[in-house]
This record gives sequence, structure tokens and C-alpha cells, in this order.
Amino acid sequence: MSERDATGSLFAHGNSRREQQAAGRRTREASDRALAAGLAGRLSDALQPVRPSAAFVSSLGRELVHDAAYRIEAWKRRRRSITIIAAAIGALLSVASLVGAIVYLNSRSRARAEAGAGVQES
Amino acid sequence: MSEVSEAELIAGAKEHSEAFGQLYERYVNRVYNYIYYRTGNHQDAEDLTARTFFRALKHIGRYRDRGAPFSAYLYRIAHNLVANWHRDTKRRQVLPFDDLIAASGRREEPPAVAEDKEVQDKLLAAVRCLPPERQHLLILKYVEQLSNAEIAQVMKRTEGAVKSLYHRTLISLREEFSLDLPGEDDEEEEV
Repeated sequence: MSERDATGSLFAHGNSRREQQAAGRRTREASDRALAAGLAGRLSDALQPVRPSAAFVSSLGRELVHDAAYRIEAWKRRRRSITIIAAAIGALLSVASLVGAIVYLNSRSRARAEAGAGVQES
Repeated sequence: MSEVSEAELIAGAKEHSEAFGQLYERYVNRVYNYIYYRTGNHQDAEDLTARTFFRALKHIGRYRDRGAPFSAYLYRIAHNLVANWHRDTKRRQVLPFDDLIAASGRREEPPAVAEDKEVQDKLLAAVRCLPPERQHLLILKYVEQLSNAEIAQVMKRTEGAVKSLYHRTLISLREEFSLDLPGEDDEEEEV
């Protein structure tokens, strides 16, 4: 067999192996897809929606609405309390600032008066 | 009259109890289904559904809309409660799957499907052995019949990630649960 023939034969063999492998892969993939599709069908049969009992749904609904009303009322009360406390703190701070300002101005004017008296005496 | 939007209901629920009642009515079946398929029995599903909504109510004042549907928030609460339930009760191996089968109207069909019933029991058992995220995906897809885009929103993933997770879930489920499937006749389901 010439070298050219041997090379050709090797190429042909290689190609044929590759084709076989590709065909095998395609078959496996097709089989995978088919199995997955079959499994999906079974899952669709097995996982059917269920419904909770009407008594449970309505009773829980009533409890929740009742609890929600209570909580909302509590939030509103808390919010009102916070508003009142904030307003009270604000008012206290305002009064304190006013008193502080008066004390400061008083002390300043007293200091000035004392300084003026000191100058006259000297 | 147009349906009130979810955002309006959520905003309303912070001020009016009736709005929370409407949110509850909108989502109770979904939450119940999710918990039911995660726990496998009605009693616990009812208990955990109630706790999910009470917890949601407790925190509704702090709820911020970040683009995800409200159901994602509820599923997250339900997921945490179910995880605690599994940890506390350790019932995973003894779940009454007969309950699951009886729950579906389709299961009331003639007993020629006894073999199918057994297969479904096994399949449900295999589903419940999957990681929680994959169980969630299957419940959303088959029980809630949500599209991949909707599932992506709920699970806070991209649609591609959902497709990929779904594919991997089917593969692992198939490996876990070697069914004698009549694959050749079925068409591939569009994912």
C-alpha cells in the first residue's frame, strides 16, 4: 500500500469514527430529550393544583382582616403618639431656646452695664 | 371595573385591613399549593399557610416594592417556614403521599391507573428529595402553570437561568427516578 493510500485510508477511518461518535451523541441527545419530555408529562400529571378547603380559606381570611385592622389601628396610635411626642419635644426646645436667648441677652447687657460703670469709675 | 393593581393593594394594605384581605384572597391558593407540595399533607399546609400570611401582615409596613411580584415575597416567607418545618419535624421520609394523590380530581379516575398511581407516588417522592429551589421551580411550572418569564420574576433569576435549572432538574430527576418512560411518542416540551 502506498503512503498516499494509507493516509487516505486513515483519513477515511477517522472521518467514519467521528461520524459514528456524532451519530451516537445525536441519538443520546434525542433519547435524553424524549425521556425528559416523558418525565415532564408525568410531572404534569402528578403535580396537579390542589385547593384548600373553603372553610379554612374563609376562616383564615376573617382572622387576617381582623388582625390587620387591629395592627393598623395600633400603627395609627403609635404614629399619633410619635407626632405628639415630637411636637412636645419641639415645643420644649423652642421654650428652652427662648429662655436661653433671654438669659444670654440679659447677661450680656449686665456685662455691658458693669463694663460701662467700671469705665466711669476709672 | 378594572382590577386593582398589586401595588395599590399593597399600599392600601398598610392603611386598610380590607386591602390585605384582597391580597390574601389573591394569593392564598398559590401559597397553599406551594406549601402543600413541599410538606405533603393538608394539616401542615393549612398551618403554614396561615403562618405565612400572618408573618406577611406583620411585616407589610416595611415591605418595599423592588420590582418583584408580591408572590415572591410570600413564597420567600413560605419557603423559610417550610425549611423550619422540615428541620423541626424531620418527616421527610414518612410523608403521606396518598394524601397528595387523593387530593387531585384526576386521581378519582378508574383504577386501571393503579400502576400509574404507584409511579406518581414515586415521582412525587423523588421530587421532594430535590433541593428546595428545584422543587419550587417544578411547583411554579406545573402547579401554578407559570411561564418561564414569570418563574424568573418570582425566583429572581433570568429566564435563561430558569430554563437551564429546569433542564438540569429534569435530568437529575430522571437519574434519581429511573422511569420506564414511553419517550419516543412524546414531543419535547418547550422549555
